[in-house]
Amino acid sequence: MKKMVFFTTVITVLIFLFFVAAMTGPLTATPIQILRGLFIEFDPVVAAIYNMRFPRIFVALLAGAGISTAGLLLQSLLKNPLADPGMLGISSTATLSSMLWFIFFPRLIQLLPIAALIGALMGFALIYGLAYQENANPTRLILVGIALNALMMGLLDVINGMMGGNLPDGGGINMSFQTWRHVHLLLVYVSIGIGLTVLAIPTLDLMRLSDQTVTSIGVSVNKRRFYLAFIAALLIGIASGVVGPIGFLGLIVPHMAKLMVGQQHKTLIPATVLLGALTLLLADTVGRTVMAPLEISPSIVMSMMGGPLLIYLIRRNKRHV
Amino acid sequence: MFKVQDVSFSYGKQTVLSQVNLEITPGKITTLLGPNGSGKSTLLSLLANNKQPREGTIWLDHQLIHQIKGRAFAKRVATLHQNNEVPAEVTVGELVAYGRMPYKNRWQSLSQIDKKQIQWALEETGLTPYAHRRLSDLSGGWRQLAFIAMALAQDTPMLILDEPTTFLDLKYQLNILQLIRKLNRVYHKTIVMVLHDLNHAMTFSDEIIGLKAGGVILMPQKVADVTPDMLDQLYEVKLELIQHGNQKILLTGNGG
Repeated sequence: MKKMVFFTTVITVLIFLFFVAAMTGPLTATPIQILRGLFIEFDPVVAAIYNMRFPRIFVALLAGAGISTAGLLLQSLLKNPLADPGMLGISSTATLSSMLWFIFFPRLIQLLPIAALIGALMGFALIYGLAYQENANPTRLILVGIALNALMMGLLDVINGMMGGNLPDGGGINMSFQTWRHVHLLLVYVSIGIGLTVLAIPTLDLMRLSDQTVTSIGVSVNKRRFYLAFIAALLIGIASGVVGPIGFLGLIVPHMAKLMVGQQHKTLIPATVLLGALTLLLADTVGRTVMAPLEISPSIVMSMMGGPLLIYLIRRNKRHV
Repeated sequence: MFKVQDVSFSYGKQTVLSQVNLEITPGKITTLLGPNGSGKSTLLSLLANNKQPREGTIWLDHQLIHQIKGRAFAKRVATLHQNNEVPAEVTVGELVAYGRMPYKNRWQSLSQIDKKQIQWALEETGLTPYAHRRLSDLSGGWRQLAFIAMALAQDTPMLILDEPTTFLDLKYQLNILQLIRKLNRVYHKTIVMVLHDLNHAMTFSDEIIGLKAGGVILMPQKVADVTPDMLDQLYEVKLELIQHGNQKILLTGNGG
């Protein structure tokens, strides 16, 4: 019952927020005008919104869903509730690798997701190799991740500076230049990633047991873990390649979802997907409206909203964090 | 059954087991005893195929154990580890059902045989009334029984238990030890375990293997042959052994 209320509420808010995001900005339109313009007759204002604002909204929705799902996967496979693709430096490694790809092979932009995926996998390999020993020490894992992230963010800044850029989020990738092509790219890969995650539900449920126990019932923990890491890397890679590294999202959304619907993955995954989409769209919409015409990047909004929220969650429910 | 030949194991530079040789007698309850850090748990992990020895070989029914694949091994040997994490929102029934993993493919649902085996495991551990309860809502003793039930659902001739009674109330300790004895006597399971309580070890085992630091084997012995001297060598404390009926009792009170 609680779950039904949660899903109904999230979907309602999501639709509401979609219209708010579409309406607000330099060009304004009422919801009725937008619907008329989209489906009934041509309207220049709506056409402009469709070409410029819609891609951005869909990118936020898809990237938010993808990053949050990746966060859930990461927490499950590393058995660490504090794992976050942003904080562990996986997102920034993916962003760095896609940036380098973009700089060196600007014509091969279709292959950008592959570069981002490879970057994310490399981030994983670095963290896993440097910190994940026989007895997975959560503190060590987080510390190595933070160090890796600091290094990657530094490198991103350096490259950004060398390119003469002065972009707001330091990631070199800006939310305001999203096109329908980005939406299509994200749609394909995020759908694949979420689809694979749904297929991995039995594995995710199984990973709640200790590694030793999983091994003792004849299941290869490493194979399963690699499979989950691959899905997470795919999602983080593509999302970071398009919107840049966004911290906190992958950490907070799965925790919120767990508090709302519990820890059965068959409900937790849809909850995380919806809540992730909602949260990033909210962050982006807030970021571009509160100080208009100036923009605050969604990753900064996420940090501003996410920090206090995380502290609240930790204090409220010690069992989940 | 298990045969360990010249097995050595080390964590980094620290040697835990060196040149260990032993055999586990089929159909018996064998208990590993020894001070902290003597490598008991490591030896169990090696038998459970969870770690590989640096040197030496371990055989299971004339087959090298590292050549037996995960699922095939899990049908022959079930292992209960120490400090089991309590998985979030898992019911007792779900946990026990995981014991059937070695028998089914990924997308297969539980067969009649699986269900019967799960039911049997729940009954033997007294968990049937708790099948739908969450593990996190139960006390430590019941949780441990649930993990034992999961191992029983694996339906193996061999059971490895790493300190199954540690951190439990005396009531649950005895409950579990009596269950272990029943599994051996009635269902003929071969049992290898680590225990800390000497008197429990003497009462509930058929054979005792003593391990000293560095993995020196002191004695693969029938319980009837254990003398206070051997335990003195093992733990470096003097103990008095008294006979009570046909039961040997070690006075562990004043350390001699």
